[in-house]
Amino acid sequence: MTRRISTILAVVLVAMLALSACITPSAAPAAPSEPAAAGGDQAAAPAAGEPIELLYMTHNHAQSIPINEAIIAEFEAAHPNVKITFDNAPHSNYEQKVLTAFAGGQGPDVFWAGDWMMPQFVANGIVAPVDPTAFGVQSQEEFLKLFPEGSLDAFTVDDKVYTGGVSEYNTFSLIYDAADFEAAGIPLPSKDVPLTWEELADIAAKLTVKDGDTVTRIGMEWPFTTPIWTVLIQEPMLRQLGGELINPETGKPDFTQEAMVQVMTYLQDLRAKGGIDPGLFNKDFLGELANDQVSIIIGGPWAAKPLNDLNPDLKWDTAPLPQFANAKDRVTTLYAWAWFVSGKSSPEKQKAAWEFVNLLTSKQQEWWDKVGYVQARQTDINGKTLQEYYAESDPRLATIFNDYQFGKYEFRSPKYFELSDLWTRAQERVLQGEDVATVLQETQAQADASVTD
Amino acid sequence: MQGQMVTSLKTKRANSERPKLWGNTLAARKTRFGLLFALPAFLFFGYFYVYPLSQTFYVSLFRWGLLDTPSFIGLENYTRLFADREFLNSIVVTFFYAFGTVIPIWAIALGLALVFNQAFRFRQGYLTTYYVPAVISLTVWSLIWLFLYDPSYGLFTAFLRLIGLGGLRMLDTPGMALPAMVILSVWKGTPVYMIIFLAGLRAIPTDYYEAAKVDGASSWQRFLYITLPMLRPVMLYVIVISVIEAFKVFTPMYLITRGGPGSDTRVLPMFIFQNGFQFLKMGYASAASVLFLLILLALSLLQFRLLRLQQD
Amino acid sequence: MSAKAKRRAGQLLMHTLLLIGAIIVSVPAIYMLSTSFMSSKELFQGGFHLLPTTLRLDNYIEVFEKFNFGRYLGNSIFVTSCVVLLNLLFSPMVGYSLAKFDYPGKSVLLVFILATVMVPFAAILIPLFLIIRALDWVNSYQALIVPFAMSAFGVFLMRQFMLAVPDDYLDAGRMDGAGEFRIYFRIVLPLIQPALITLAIVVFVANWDEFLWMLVVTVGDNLRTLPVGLAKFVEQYRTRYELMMAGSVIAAAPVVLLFLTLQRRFLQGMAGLSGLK
Repeated sequence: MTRRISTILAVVLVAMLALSACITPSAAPAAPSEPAAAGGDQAAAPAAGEPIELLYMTHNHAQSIPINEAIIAEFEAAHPNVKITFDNAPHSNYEQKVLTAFAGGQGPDVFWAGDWMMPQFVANGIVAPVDPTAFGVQSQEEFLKLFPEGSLDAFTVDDKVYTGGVSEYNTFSLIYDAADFEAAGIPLPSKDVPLTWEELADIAAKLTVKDGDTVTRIGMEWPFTTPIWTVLIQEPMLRQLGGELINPETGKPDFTQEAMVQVMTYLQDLRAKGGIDPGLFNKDFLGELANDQVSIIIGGPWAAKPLNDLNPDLKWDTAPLPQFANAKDRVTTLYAWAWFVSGKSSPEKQKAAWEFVNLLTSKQQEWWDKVGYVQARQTDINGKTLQEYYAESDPRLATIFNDYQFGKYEFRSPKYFELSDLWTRAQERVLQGEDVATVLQETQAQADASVTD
Repeated sequence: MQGQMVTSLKTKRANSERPKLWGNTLAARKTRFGLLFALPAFLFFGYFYVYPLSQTFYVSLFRWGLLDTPSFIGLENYTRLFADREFLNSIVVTFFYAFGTVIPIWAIALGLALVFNQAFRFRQGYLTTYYVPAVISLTVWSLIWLFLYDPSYGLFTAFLRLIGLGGLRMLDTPGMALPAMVILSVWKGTPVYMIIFLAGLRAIPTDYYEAAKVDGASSWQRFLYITLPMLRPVMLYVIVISVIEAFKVFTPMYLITRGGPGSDTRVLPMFIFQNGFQFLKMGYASAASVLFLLILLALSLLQFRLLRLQQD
Repeated sequence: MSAKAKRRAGQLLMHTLLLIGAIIVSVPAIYMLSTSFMSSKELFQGGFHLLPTTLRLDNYIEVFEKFNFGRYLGNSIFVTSCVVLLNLLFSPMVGYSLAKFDYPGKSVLLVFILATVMVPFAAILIPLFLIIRALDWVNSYQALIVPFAMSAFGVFLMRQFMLAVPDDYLDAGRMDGAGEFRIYFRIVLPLIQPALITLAIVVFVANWDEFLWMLVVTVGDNLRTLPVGLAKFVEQYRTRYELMMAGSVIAAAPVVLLFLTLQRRFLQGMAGLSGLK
């Protein structure tokens, strides 16, 4: 009997291998035969004014869709020869959609992506360096002057800028329900001097409300399962203590460093005190803050609009991102989504694409008013700079805007996704009460294995 | 009796060693007709699935990051997998999940099918009600359970409190997250197999039962000597397919636990998805897929054997 | 008399158990239905509550007006119906061939067919996408339908039911001089009608919820189906549960209706079989 089974297994295996052997390397999966395809497009190069079709891909942030559609219509009206197909995919599958499209040789010409994708994109020629002429300037230096200093650093590799502008430029601060603070008799946190993390732990614990054994309101909501968020919040904590996930000297990840131990121990403590609770609520943190299930969240400027929509009576306010009591430096978060143009598209398409991005990035007022996205390109709105315009729209946001100057982007590594995943799992285990040193040592071993790959 | 049908394949082969293809005999005509009817399958599966599958084998011999050019590394992905604790862990998790899910499904689905095979009042209403979990999108189903499991207001938590397990939290107690996934999967998976079992039961000609009744067989004897043997082909289907489906589970873990806490619910399909589309190690993910295929193939062939052996 | 009383007691017990079971089984569906009437405020306030305070239809209106669900629903119905029809056409043929005929390579064919569903879909996503691209089918209905025209599940299900068809019937047909096609259409298909209905139900439900492929192979919203629509309620910083539940009720309703219609024939269709022979 087992012989029959192994015979069939063997037959199937051999057949599979035989089949794969028949497939020539040129038909290999990656084979999207990109250069050839691009060359083909070039051969049939349309002269100026000849029809150009662009594919524009974004994720599905609901408010952004009408704005994108309006800008597409405006661009098509001004460029009758350009036809833009707009494709927005569900946010949680967006990266997979973009990657599959590129791997399948049908990548978009213009698309959104997060700054953490840069190493993969640049190394594989997925993104093209910016064409300054589309923005009405002659050189990259002049292009950079259209933006506040440093805001495009995350998209600059070897002195080349790979974006036409950020769609969403964010930092994290504390956002809290002031009514909960008052009811608990806790003084509202200062808007200028950040709380220490240690103070925050006590405050969060006091804000937690229990009915018997059941928690009915949690002091603070923490992102427990999303790897990108783990990094966005824990990395500033690490850096405040002088640490870096990627050791600048060895270039290798270091999970066992003293600063990491302190961060993880802090988290364990925060959980033990009852300030946070994995598994509880955590389904829609803005909805939960607006409806009194949570008192404090960590969020960016994008939170303002939905919070006001969700509960107009909510007395939300902001405080700077906390710092450790023994912090060496004040550090906060920075992350951005940006507009990219595909390096795989034909030169004609790239040129039209950059002009389209120019139009997209010059609608700062709409992107803020209707979508709630903070952007960076300098502008003049009724005599005010962009930053002044933002601050004016809601004075509570001034605190968040003040946190940008201390922001640092996440670590850059082609192994970003594996390391952030490991980091998240370490956090989960620590929050379950496992020994910090053991967890970090095991995480380090896995990280070593993944980078030697 | 009809139970023989399962082995008809075998007996026929014994009768006419090699099926004849040419000539005008009945046997040859039948062979040609059989091949003609199988032709769509050869073409369809060959074109749309065997080629992608062979690609998976091929890619498993490469280092490939989706966006770059693949480079050949022989069997390195495989040797690496066998040393990867995450991978070995995910195999164990998958086995626990899969068998923890399918065994209750078999029992409950067969039991319900037997009940619904009788005529009684409101049968159609009950059948539809029991079937509803199958028609709800798995994404939505998973998110509903995210709410039901909430330690504060979740209804499942309220139920646990009612039976005196008040402090038990399903999603973040070590060792409980996987059973939580099993519960929602059994709940959702049972109705489909209930329907298939029911179809199998309904296809058993009633005169067999009448004859047995005349012979004075008890209802238990009738179940044992008529229902079970006659149901064997359908049972084989349910057993093979439910195991395959359970091994391929992905959505609930992806949406509810993200494989956590730690790696407690990191099943193989999730390992494969993460490596392929998040860590951009498509070659590695493909090698894991090949091993996944071999495991399922071995399990299925074993199931085929077992159900046939029992009969001989 | 006592036997009758015993039977009645048994009936009562069965009905009680069925009723309790039905209530328990329905909890997630009731939760979905009631959430579909709630505002997000109601969903997140006041702890757990199974029933909405008002029958508020705003979510349904928003789902159709702002989220294109009319289009998704239409596409889903069209695509899934085509897939079911193709499966009804091909799966019984192949299943019949595998169950009742003998030719070289038969068991290998069955193993190969089953092997096609033995890898996670993510593993063959890109090669399958490349095939569709080579056919120039990206963003077309063909791409959504043809790769599912046959399924290993369907073929295997049909094979198993065909095994139970007595050979005597077929041989009797051959004795009468009926051709193989005639035997298949006139004897075999009517005999396994309940199995065909089962096949239709199973294939319909399986394809109705197909998500990843539908997302990857379409561009823009025109050809997308309900599962893609549902996934869109998970946004960057929010999840619109109340809208998702309304969308999900819309997605589940046609399948329940289909099941209600088919189950009558499914439960009755059997009576015919016992009459045979």
